[in-house]
Amino acid sequence: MTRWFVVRVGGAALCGTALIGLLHLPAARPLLAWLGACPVRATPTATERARARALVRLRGTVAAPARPALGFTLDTTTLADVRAWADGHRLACAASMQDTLLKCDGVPAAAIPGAKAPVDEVAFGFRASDGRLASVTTITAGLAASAASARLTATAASLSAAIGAPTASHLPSGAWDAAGPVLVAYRFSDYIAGVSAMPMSAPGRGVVLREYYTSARASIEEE
Amino acid sequence: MFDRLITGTRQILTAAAVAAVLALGAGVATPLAAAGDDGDGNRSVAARLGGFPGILGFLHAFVVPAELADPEIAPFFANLTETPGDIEICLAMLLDHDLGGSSPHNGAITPTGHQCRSSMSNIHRGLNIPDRIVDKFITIVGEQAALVGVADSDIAAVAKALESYRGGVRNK
Repeated sequence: MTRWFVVRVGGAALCGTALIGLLHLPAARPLLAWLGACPVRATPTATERARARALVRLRGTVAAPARPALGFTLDTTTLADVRAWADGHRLACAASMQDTLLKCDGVPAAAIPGAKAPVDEVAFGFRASDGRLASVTTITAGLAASAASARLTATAASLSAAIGAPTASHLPSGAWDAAGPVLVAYRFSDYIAGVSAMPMSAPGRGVVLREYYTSARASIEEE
Repeated sequence: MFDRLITGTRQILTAAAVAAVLALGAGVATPLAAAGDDGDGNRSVAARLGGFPGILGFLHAFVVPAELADPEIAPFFANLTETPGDIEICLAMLLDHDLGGSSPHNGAITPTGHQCRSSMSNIHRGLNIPDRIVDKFITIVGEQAALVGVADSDIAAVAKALESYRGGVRNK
């Protein structure tokens, strides 16, 4: 009886796995889409490959003089390092994507070197291949235009002091009227960074401030 | 730098060529009209962005790479039931339509055989995308548009068009 049960359940599991695999073949994508799409996100390896391909298009040609990343070290910091930092500041963080993504909510200014205001979320991306920090991003929503502008100006000044003039910028000549986005962007061969403020029209979303600090060093997939 | 410019231009031209084939197949307006006018005196935002081919080229060469560089957004883009090209084509048609262009809102068939769907809720069901991801997505589109010189008023129109789908994308 037990053997019968094991064989039936095992067989059903194998068939189910095979069916799910078949549904993800390119030829079966329309059927999968019709069924309501795949509920599972990409694997960390697939995400890393996609990111590597994207960086080929984004990176510059000259190496960065420094690679600031909110006090963390790109290509060196590990998940354990960030967890220790989070624990030290009693932050609420959640890991996902097989520990290649860590998101910390409600991060106070005191936890971020040089910051003068809290951020809604800091997200850390780690490479699947070696577990090292590949990118740090922050996002804060619901800001007034004046507050967003002041914070962008401060971050831009900090970046400028560390790594020089930006590769590109879109800044108003006078006071920002929040009619469109403002930003500074840096693109080196091994580092991409920037800060932007973007007004949202949805109620309650205000101006969204985004910072990003990304390693753009060639990954294994590109070599 | 010059090589990069050539590569970027080649990508946009490739996207435009795909767009031309698609548009002709779908029986929509001639897609390679001059930016700012779709040939019928259309002075819409979509026309100023180069119509469907211009929007598709912008998404392909600038927006998608920038979205994929974000650690939170990349997982959503890297595992699609459609190909990345299908997503770009369907989103380009949607934006072109919503910004006053002549693309169909949905139902177009891409070269891979994928049919652009109409329901944002169905497309994003099970992904549990929070407001912050929607904010990030729209912000990155705005950043890239500003970097390629799109006017603030047109960026605001694009953002508003994307915002209109927030309810269908968020927390499904």
